[in-house]
Amino acid sequence: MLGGTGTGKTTYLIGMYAELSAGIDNYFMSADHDTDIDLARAWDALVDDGILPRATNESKAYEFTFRYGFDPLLMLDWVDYRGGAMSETTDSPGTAALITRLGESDSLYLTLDGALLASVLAGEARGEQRLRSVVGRYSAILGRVGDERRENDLVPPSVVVLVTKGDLMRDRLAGTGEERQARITRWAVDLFGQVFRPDWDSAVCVVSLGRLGESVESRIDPRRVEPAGIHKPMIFSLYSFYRRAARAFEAEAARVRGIHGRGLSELEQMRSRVMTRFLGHQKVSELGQAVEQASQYVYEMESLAHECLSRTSVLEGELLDVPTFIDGQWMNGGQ
Amino acid sequence: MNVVMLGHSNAGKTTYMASMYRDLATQGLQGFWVRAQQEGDHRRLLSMANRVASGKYPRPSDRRHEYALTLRHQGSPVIDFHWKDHRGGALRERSTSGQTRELLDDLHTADAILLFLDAPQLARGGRVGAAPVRDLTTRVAGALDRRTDPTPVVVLLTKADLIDEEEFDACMRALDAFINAIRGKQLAFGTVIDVACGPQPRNVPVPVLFSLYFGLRLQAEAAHGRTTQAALVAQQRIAADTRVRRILGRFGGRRYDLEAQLATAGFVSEWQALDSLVSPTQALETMLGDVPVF
Repeated sequence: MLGGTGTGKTTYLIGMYAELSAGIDNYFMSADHDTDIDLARAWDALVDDGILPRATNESKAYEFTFRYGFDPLLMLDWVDYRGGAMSETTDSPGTAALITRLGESDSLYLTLDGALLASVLAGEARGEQRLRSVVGRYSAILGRVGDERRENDLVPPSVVVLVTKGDLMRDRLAGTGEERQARITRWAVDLFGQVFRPDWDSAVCVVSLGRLGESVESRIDPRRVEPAGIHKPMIFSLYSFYRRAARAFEAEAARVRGIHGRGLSELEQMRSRVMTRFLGHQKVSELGQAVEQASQYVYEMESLAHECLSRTSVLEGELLDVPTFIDGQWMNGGQ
Repeated sequence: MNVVMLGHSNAGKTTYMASMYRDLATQGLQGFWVRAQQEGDHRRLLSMANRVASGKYPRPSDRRHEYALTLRHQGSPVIDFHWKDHRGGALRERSTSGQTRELLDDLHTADAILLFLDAPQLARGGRVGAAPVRDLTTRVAGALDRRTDPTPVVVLLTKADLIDEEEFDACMRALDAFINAIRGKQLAFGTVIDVACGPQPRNVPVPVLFSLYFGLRLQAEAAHGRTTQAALVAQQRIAADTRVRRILGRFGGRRYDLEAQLATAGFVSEWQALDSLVSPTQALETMLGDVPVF
């Protein structure tokens, strides 16, 4: 998860965990006991006393288990990067480490401060300058991540442009919810054009923890905390993960199906020759076993692909109001 | 069998423990009794229960308590179980706390998990009502990983005498996500039981008997396996015990007749052990027939 200081990354994390640990549509997120206690306490402090989490001085890593019901689906390695990391030069050791880490990630969250974006959309010139300066640093890093993945023949990570403080969008921008979403999406595409490509799965998620206003203090009115859409980015990450997994399994099944077909053909030929049947029965037997194993393997890959596709269907239902860019096309209200 | 109670402070864990013990130690239920293995525990629990019955509820536990108990049926011991009561605050402390560490260890080795939720608080809804459900959900999720035996998970809605039917429905709605998760989890068997201790008790023995039924059933299945195996061995030994072999055996120092006798005795012993479990298991199954399970 990337974002400058004050963009709301950590606040988002604790809110997202609070919602998903209680369960949404039979999806749950859990963590080890101490992590759960820390995140729950931070959430309690926010909703009971209005205390916002402190700015992240150092990057923090979390391990989550994402579950369907109580069955573990995925282990999630979540890194909340310290806001200052985005301010370093692109050739600093910290940035190099960041890029390496990002290169191994399956999903990236680019956090945009909704307050800043709202000021830009409201026509404030200074806001736009600041926004592009921030985004410029992201873009350089994303470019390198994309290059490295391509060089290693790896699928790019899915990307969520996470717009925080969504309440400010509602307050400061005219129009219906759909119109606001469309404007935000256009800006996201303009700012992060490189992640809206046919080979990247991307989404623009506006999240809100409630009508908190543009707070510069470390405290907010806790009565206004009312999370909205906070679990959607994670649902998208999982959707992309399963979508790509299904494709990988299908590709593997197709590859082995080819091998199986050739093996079967060879086996039939061998069995049709009388001398081969008698003198080469060992070889016929071994080939028969290999063909059988290949057939079983194809079945397993197809089953896994089918299961992943089933999961994507379920997850898709949660994303009907989230503009997503999949296989070069916009879905659900994107451009 | 290890039974763990999980719940926040004032959810009613200790009160339930005492009330359950008093009911099953002094009155029993359809031939089932519970008795502490230590006389000191017996007296302490009864004393606590008597105070509860007169409306004086115990203070929240300040530390972990473990009681070694035995379930008896028709006068014979059936299953031993360890009942673990933890300080409610331990649930919300980091694992650097020794008591929290004990709680987590007990949870992961529990053969039955009893979750305590304050029904009036849960029925009120909102964050105050939902937070305990969330806390218990995350703990149970981790505890049920890598299980190989059926595990009963019993949700006790405590202080149920203080809520009406509408509020009970509100409690069930608050537990929707949890119930669905348990329903989908292989080897986990859940139920929700509204419980009231004190002057007008309700459903007090049900949670413990529901939990023990699974322990008993597991023991009966294991005994059945051993009995089957012993029968096979006995059959083989009996078949091998022929007159010719007995004569030849004398030269080789082998007593086929003795082996047959021992194997038969072994089978009888396993059969008796199984038999002693069948009746109470069936009795519990009948008694708990109306308890909804998910």
